[in-house]
Amino acid sequence: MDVNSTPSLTELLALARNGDRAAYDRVFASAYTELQNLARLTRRRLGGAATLNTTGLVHECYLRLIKGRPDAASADHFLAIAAQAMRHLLIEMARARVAQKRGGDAERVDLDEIDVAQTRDAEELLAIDALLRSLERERPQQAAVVECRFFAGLSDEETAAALSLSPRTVQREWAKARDWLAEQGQA
Amino acid sequence: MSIDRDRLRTGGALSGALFRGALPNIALQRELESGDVIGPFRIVQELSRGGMAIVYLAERADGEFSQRVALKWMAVSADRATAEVLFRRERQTLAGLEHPGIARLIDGGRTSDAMLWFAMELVDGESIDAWCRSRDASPAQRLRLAIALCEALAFAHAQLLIHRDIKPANVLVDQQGRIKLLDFGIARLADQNDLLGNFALTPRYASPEQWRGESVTVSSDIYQTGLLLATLLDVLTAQETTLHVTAMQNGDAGLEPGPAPLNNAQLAHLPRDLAAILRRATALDPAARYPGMAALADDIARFLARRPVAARSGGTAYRFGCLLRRQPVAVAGVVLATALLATFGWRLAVESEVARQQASRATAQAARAESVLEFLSGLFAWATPQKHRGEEKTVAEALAYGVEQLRDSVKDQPATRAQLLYMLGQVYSQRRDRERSRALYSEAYELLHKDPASDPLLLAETAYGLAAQLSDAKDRERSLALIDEAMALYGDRPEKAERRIHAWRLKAIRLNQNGKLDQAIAENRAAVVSATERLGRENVATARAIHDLSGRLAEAGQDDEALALKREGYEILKRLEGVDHPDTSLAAVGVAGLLIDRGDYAQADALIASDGEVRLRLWGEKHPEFARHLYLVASYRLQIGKTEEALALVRQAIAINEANGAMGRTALSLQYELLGRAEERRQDFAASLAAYRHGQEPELFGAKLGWDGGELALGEARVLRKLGWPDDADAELKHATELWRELPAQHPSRGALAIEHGFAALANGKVGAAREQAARARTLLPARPAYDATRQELAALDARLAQADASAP
Repeated sequence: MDVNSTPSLTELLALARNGDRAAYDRVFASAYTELQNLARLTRRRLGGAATLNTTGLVHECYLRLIKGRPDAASADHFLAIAAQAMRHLLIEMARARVAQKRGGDAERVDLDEIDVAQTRDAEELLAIDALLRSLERERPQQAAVVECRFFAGLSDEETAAALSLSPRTVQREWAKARDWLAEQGQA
Repeated sequence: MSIDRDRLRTGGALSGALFRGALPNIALQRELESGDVIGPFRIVQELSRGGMAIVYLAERADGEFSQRVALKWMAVSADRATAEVLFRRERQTLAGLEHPGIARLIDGGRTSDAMLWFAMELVDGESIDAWCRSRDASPAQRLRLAIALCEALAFAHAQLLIHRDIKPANVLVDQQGRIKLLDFGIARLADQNDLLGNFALTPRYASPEQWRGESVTVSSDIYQTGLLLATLLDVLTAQETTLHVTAMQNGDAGLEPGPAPLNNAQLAHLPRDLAAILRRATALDPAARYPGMAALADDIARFLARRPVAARSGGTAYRFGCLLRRQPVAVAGVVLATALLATFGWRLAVESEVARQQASRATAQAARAESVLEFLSGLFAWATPQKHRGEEKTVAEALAYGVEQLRDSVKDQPATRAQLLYMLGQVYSQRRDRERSRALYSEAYELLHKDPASDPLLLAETAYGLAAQLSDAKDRERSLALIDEAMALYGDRPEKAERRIHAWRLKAIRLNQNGKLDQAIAENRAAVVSATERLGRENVATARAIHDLSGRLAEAGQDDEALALKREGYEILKRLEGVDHPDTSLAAVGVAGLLIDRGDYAQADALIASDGEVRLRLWGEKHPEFARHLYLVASYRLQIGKTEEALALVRQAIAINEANGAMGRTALSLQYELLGRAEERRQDFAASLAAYRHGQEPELFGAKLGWDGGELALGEARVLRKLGWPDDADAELKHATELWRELPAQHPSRGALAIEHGFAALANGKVGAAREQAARARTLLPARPAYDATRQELAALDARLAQADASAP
């Protein structure tokens, strides 16, 4: 990779697809940063997106990064990386929330219902993440599907495109992974 | 940790509380299902959905009475801290927006996962455009609806509230053909919540300044109303309105996104005057639009009456343009300023048509109007975000700045200056800021007095306004003099009759505060007689005057007449306002209180029970107003010896108020006082002490406890004495005495205070002093059943005194 020029997102994605770890890291980092930026989104002009649904978040992130004409293939690949970034972001938030709960605030009995709900949510996310890591070792394809669907809110079709699988495979793997996770969770 | 399978769905990680709480600025919509409970409401079904919200039909989920509302579920998860602040500040303002043309905001809140919701009056009607289409309404009918809309908006603008999202879907026409404006203030709440104009607004009807992301003023509402009227007059079809926006949005790269002006071809089928009205209302430059809603309504009315319209005269617009060129202020400011000016005119307008004409004559004096305008434009230009690194100033800050500016400007025009001072004084008085309001009224009053040509009605209003702010002991004589002056200036003007009665009532209040109960009663009587003559017996203002007189008579111990009058006032209100009106409910409680005082329990029972039902219907069982009912019943039960029942009821009232935050707080100290008394009655002194003390917590009730604080401190002293801690009791007694320093000398509570002083004197071996206190208490305590418990304390003191006599050498 030429260090003197800044490669475009499309170029980086192409490199990442061919196994370039550095390119992957850069895409991941910029997706991650952009997701955080979106989170801090403040005043913007009228005429942008209306209600952003959960899926829209990752797409919006891509559109902001690509800054040019989107191309279908790299967009698909980007979705997969962004899903990983999204999972990363969420798990980091969950860890921070749980740590804060166990740390200095432990003395204070906080009855705020939002705090309680968020902590419960964070603990659940961490539990799912831990299970997902063991799933990754045994059935990595299922884990990737969960990443796209659960963490990034991608649909069957989008997940299929992002992971180069058929939609039917995605549906099957998603159903199996859900059963397995729910079962492990009960144990 | 068990994992909920339902959680494992598409986007499950993103719809949890953690993520939504952390990303307050991104609208992530969670949908509701029928049966879901939001606040006190249960979802029945979806009514409609738009870009930023889904509207559900919902009904109360608590209590037995039924209330159906339109529940607006925002596609927005609000940042917690911001939402709290906003709700405290805005909800109250919006709740006060009572106008027949505006759908009432009933409730609103935030769920545990930080989603915002609003419950609004359910309106049975259809959107204004659909209504016009389905009835094939004539152009004149359509224009009259537009005038009604302008009037509703003018009412809101008068309270500095801007709608921001006027579009056909938000303007309904009901079965009787009356308009109802929906969603007031919601766009603003959403916008301030950092949810951005871009999520909150409807692009098709957005004003150019909204597109630019600037702070929005009443002028934006005028633009949107104009566009709505254009749609009603088929200048723009719904389809064209969209094109009208998108054509510019995707047009030349150099152009700002925003709407295009209405063009001649679109307006060709309209009469020229009407076209001019539309053009002026929807001008892209806010300064070229109508200065206020009233002006737009006037022009439409003039068109209907075939009179020449201002939009074509050019004069005003021209003057406006000149003004702007002379003073390069933010355009938004000028327009808001003019609206304020219209506000001033409007306030007088509600009082009477005559006054309105006078006011408009007054404001028509161009030089004066223009100076007012210049001043206010400076004021609101100051408040625009650009001047403060994007930070929008609040109305309060803008007003403060305005007051400061007034010191140096328009010195040479006393009439204008007085008018401005009066106006700002009025705004502050509505904001319950006594000190500032007083200072402003005071200065306006001085100016008007010096000027022989000043408007006598403005002087009367200023004198009355000032008198109402002067309640401290040292100011009362002045307040009384001002009231007399205002009453003389109102004179026999029929349109000021009601105002004059209000002033009269204030006079009686001031006299009573000065301890002149007999004089106060005489004035109250005179006010009732005058109100009956001038306004009729069946009149709300008369009923209020009767209510005042009754209260004063009760204080003087003239119970029979007090009760008869209180009853009459209640009956009048019941007939005029209906049983289900807060004023009527309050009057019912007043009657019941008098009945309980005299021990007439059977009659009180019926009234209290029916008032309980009304309150439940009006507010629901979790509202402080219902807690007030429980408190009344509890104090009644305690009086008739049903201590356990009283305890349960007052605890329930306390629970409601504690759950209601600031709204319920003011009543809490009284309720803790009652709890303390109930516990004391059943000899649980520790619990009683805790209740009395809790009632005095400064963080709960603020530093100023006032007379209620005296009641609590006295209760604490009494219980401490009974627990055998005379030194602590002494300290508390001093505290109570201090808090009651301004309590009238003959007030019955002074009897209870004297008893405790008697016990304290006895503990110190001062039998003579104790005897004096006991004698004093005897003369102060009324014979009514309400003082039975206090008389028992007095009996205990007498018994101790007898013992002291017996053991004396």
